[in-house]
Amino acid sequence: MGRFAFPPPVFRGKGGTGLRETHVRPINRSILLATGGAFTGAGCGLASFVGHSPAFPWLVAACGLASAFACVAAARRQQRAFALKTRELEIALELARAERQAADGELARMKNEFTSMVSHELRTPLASIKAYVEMLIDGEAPDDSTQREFYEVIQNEANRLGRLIDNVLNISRIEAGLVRVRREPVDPADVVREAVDTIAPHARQKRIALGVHLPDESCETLADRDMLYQAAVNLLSNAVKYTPEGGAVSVDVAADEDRRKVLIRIIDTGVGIPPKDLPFVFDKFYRAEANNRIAPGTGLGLSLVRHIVETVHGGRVWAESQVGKGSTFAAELDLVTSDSLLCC
Amino acid sequence: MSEKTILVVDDESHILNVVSLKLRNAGFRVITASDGQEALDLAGQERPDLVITDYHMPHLSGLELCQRLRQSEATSDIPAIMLTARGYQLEPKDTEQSGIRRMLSKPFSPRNLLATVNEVLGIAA
Repeated sequence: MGRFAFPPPVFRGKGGTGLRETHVRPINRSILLATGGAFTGAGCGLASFVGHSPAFPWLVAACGLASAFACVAAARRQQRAFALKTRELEIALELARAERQAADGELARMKNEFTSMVSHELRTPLASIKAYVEMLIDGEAPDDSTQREFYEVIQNEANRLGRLIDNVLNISRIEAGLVRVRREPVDPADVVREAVDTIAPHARQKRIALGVHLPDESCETLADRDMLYQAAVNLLSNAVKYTPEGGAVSVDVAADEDRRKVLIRIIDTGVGIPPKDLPFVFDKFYRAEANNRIAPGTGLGLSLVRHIVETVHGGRVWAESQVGKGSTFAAELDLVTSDSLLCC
Repeated sequence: MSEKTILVVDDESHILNVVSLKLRNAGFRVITASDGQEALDLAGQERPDLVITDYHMPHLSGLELCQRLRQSEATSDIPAIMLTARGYQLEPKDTEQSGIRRMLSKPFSPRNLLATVNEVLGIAA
């Protein structure tokens, strides 16, 4: 049984038992058969010889031996085929293990990168806050208007820090199904206006023209106002982040003709997103490599936008882009119609 | 003491402004750039006494900027102070070869930064 030293190292455990049952038994059977054949043939031959019949018994014995050899040869072939199959399975297992290790490595790399990015994103506004506070304490702001400017920087950077913390917390809450959604009739135009006010200081700082086009008539969607605001702020801050100084960002809110849906579009003249990255921009932690060098980010903002619009509100988000020309991010939500009021 | 010129490089305008003000208040002449390429051009023209640069910047990182300054004869002896928000620890060979004399991590104290500047420039506080 030395040749059947099973299970081989990679098959120890449950898999090994299965292989032993399915493959080893037929081989043992054929060896038994061969040995049986040989003995039967030889036995017949001996019996005939004892019975003094000269030619027939040798023929029978020869047939018996030949069938025995044939069976042994077949068993050997089967063994070789089996050894080959075993090797194939070993290789497949090794490959699967290597792939799993690579996937684990990739996940670890993404986690590291994420921790590093979150750390960077938290430290940057904190750095401004601490530096400006120290300057104020040390009396280094020469006049009232500079002091006022410093207070505004501190306020804006504290808000930026707050938004990042909200993004991180909300994405975990939504994913864990722990988020409490407070639906109420909301005019998307109001939410967009509020988000534009929040982002305006950043746009001014980069001399980016911020255009807003809202519908003449008000409309209503059933939504969690705070979440919708967060989605709008994320889309707008991204647009400002990836648009070079002196560029333009515009926000369009429009209801469709039969007032069933509202479309919110954020259009920038930014760096754009390469086509290979476009399908993945809403994925958690995904960062377009080319844009990573332009501005840091956590890869959470757009993922949260998709969660808020699609998972929580049953709407739709998508992006269109041309490298070097700009991107358009769009969100579509259902409006409250007379039908939907009847349903409620 | 003759007025020393310091080139401050950061893509975050708030940081650029606050560092510039701190250094101007301390009597330095300050020039600023918001990315690595602009900083390279400015350093070639103005030959500052010191460069203070952020690490993570678009197009050209702070480390690449320092390495490029080293490679050009006109700017090869300009010392640098690096600010970083990622808690990076650079390899000693990278910092030595790139003329980076000190690393400060963000958030940083403008007071400490000024003390470090004085130390690197050999100015008694």
